[in-house]
Amino acid sequence: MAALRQRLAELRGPGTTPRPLDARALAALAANPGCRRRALLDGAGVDKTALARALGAPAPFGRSEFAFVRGNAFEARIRADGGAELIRLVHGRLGGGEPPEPGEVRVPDLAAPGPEGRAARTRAALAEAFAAGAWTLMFHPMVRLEVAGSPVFLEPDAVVVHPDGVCTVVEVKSFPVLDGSADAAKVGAAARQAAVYVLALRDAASAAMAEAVTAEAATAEAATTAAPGPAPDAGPVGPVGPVEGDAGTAAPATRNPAPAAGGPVAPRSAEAQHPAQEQDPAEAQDPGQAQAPAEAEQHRPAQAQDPAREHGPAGAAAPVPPDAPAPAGPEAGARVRSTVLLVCPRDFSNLPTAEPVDIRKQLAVTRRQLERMTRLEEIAAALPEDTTFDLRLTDDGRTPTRPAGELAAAVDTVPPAYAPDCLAACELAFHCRSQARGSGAVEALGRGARGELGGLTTVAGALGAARGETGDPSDPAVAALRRAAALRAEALATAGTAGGAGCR
Amino acid sequence: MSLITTLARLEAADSGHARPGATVLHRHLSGRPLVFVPLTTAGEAGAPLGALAGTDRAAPRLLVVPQPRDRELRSAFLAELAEVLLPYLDGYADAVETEERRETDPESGRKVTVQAELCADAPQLLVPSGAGVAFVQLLGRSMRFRRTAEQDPEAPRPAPPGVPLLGRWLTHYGERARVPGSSLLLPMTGLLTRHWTTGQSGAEDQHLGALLGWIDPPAGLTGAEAALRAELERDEDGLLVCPPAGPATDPAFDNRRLAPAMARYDRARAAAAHAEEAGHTGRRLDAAWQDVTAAGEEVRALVESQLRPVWDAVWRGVDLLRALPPGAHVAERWKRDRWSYTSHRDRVRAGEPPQPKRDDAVTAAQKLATRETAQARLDAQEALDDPLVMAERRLAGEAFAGEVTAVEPAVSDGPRPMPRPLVTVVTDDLPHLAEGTVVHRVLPDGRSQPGQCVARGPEGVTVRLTGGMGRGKVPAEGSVPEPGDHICWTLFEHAPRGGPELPDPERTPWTHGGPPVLDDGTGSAAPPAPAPRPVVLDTGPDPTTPEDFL
Repeated sequence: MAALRQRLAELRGPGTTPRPLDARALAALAANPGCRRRALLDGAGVDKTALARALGAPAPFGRSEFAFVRGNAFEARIRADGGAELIRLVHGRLGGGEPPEPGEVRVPDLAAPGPEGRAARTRAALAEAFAAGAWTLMFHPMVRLEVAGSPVFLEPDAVVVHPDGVCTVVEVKSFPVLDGSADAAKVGAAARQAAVYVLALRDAASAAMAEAVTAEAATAEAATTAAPGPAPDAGPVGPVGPVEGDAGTAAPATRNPAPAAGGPVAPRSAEAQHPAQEQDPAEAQDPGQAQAPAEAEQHRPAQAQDPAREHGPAGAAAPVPPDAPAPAGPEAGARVRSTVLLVCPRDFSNLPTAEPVDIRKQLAVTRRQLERMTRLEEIAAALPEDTTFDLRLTDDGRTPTRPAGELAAAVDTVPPAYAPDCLAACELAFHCRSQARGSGAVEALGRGARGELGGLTTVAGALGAARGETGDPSDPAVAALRRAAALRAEALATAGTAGGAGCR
Repeated sequence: MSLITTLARLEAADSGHARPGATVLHRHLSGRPLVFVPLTTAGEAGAPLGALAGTDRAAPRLLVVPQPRDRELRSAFLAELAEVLLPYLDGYADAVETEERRETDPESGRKVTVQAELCADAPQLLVPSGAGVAFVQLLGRSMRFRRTAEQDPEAPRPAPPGVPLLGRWLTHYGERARVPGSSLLLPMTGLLTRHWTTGQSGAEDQHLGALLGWIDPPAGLTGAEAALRAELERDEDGLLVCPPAGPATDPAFDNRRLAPAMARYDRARAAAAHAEEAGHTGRRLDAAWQDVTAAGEEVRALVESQLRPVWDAVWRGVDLLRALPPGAHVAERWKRDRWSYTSHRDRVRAGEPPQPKRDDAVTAAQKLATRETAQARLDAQEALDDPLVMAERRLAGEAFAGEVTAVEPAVSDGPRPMPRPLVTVVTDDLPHLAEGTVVHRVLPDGRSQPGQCVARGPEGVTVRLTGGMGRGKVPAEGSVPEPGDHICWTLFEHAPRGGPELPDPERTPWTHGGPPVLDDGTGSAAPPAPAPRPVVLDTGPDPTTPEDFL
């Protein structure tokens, strides 16, 4: 792991702080899992915006100040009063027992230094919330997810823990819900983003429950066996655990018993966790750890085992489908709902309204895409030894001094999977597009074009085949293209506009 | 996207210039369209920032909201917009012709012919892009439920006169734009992509500047270069040289230009208000208000700088489209648009309430059926009007063309023998034909002739003509092709009708809310309805959202 971390740091360039991935980027990445270029650059924490600018193809992304101000005002309104409005919306749309009295909602402070610390603090707060059996509202918790072999820290807008110990991810968006409906594309993007949060939160929930269990068992032994592990350098890139299957989720669950054994985690102890976490691989051999999932099963709060109750009373405003079985194990899957709450401004006002969104489909897709994402080690191993994406910034950290040609050559060593959809989602897309266009790749014309043309991958090749100059006539794609070319030529000749209209 | 379109994209990418995507104009283009280029404020639903509107390309009317968060200023903008648009929309209401229409007589229940008014022409709105169409729909929603002081003297914030009416018109136009082939409200990007194929992807075609670059590049540039320039070129301040067609603005423009100018405007207004409060009079107050005017002018100039290039681009698109000959069926579809305009005019005149926020199930089913029929009709008519579209259908196996090699006279069985000649066509096309498949072709007089596939072999496809030959024992002149003729058979109907008619209101199934509940006072006489019909005319303001309106 240290080797990979070292390699990624080299790729990023010495002295460059890694750029954290966010859920939006992850959702975009999961939408194009075949793109090794994006997976590696994002995984290594390369600043793609600066990279694209240095390559001479800056991304025209930006956020208007007006949208920013308005979005902040909207979120402030939701957070006001200890989130009273948000709890009202959650209760109104999802049900879940008695509405809380004002002041009854727990809003834990999740502040802690560093993403690791915040994630640990979130896990501890989750464990407390599960034990408390009351409404708990967590604003901007921090959860982690393994992506292509390296950890990513994610920050959902809010997570609500219901009194029955079930969590709902809340996604706050600034597009309006007009007369009960919203832009389908925007809702879809929000759902994909929320799916990433739910996956990460399930890991955190199972970890929190394991911590709670260990705390109950109060096995001082566990703490002592876990604490003095080998402590390699604690870099910005954390431990890498297995991602696939149940084994992957069992490991995080048992990863970190130390803080929980010491009671609620304070920011102070969160920092102290790093060494303990680093000995993850060693834990796999620890026979004592194998019991933890079983124990977790036994110690589940009774109400969480009753699916009927878990999904709210009959009077719940929205039909909430039963959770699909999650690979993260039954306890974690049931803990985090696969229905998220989308909170948006209502109509033309700045007042919030909420809609439950069933994201089971997005969850399944995202999980599958994340699993099949090529692992970073493999991508990195395929690169020439001395490859780096270092911009060699000047001392003020603004101007890159590395020649664009050299940089482009380095980027070229990682194959992209460009599609026009990338333009809306990836900072490097304009660079990839000019490359795709330059090499005459048919992908530049759209995924559909690529699909229709079969084995013909370049514009010149496809046109040659259409004209009958190249290609194998027995190839169905070539034959269809020739027929299309003949019909098109005939039609244009009939209309007498061949090469005419619009082509001045 | 069909393979023929993909081929055109390949050709365009290779040559660097757009290729024809149609040989005729498939949409009606009014002789005097009203071009409407709106801009909106980022992050806020329906907070217009400004607009250019008008029918004269040399003299658009500029409307600007110097501070979109100010409700009063937004209201003033909408009032001004109504002043510009309503005279145009109303201007076509009185020139009418009469048409015969078959209607069901409510008393006898029989179909009778009635004389109905049909507006001779209809107003046409052109917006730059698909997002502009969505914005027109949004504007309509935000305006149509407002109440003027005349309609409701109690209203806390009465709407300026004309605003609710314009909201209803924009809603009608926005809804009509969802009907395939309609031309009342059209986006320029949609028009251009229908008629030209560029060497970029469909998503990139949504950029009006890039699209025009491909179709009609400036001298010395290829279409690809011009498109790239339109998309990305920025001046030394980082602002796009070719501003986006809206309604969203470029974030760089918002942050670097607009936000500071609006802040100056806000400060000037605050200073003027302060001066007024402090009791200043005369020159000091005048100077303060002059500052406000100057700051407002600055915002106006900025907004115009973003609007004007788009305005010119839309008109350039109009010029390009006017060079194409109109398709043969376009006038027929435009007549349906005129009916749509006329019926909305009648609803407004009859004092009906504004369109509801959500359609009830029956209206939704009707609209869906209308759109499906319109789509089928559009597909058929475009293919008949345009050999390039027909080529796509032939490639898809839905039509075939070829030379007639043999015509064999034959008659039908039955008591009254009718001519049923067999026509054999040699074709290179690969239609999805089976014995008995019904095919259609256009007769020289424009009518459609049906036939039935009888045999398909190496000598060609043999079709038995089953109609369109008159009532005599001998086929009517010109209704049977001669050997050597080139004819085109289609597997689709030329005038597809919709599905079965929807049931009468009294027979509405429970899935759609059930029959309307009769309120005749007795209560018991009415048939028991499983569920009351949903409230259709929910026109009041949202009970829990006081700020529902712009």
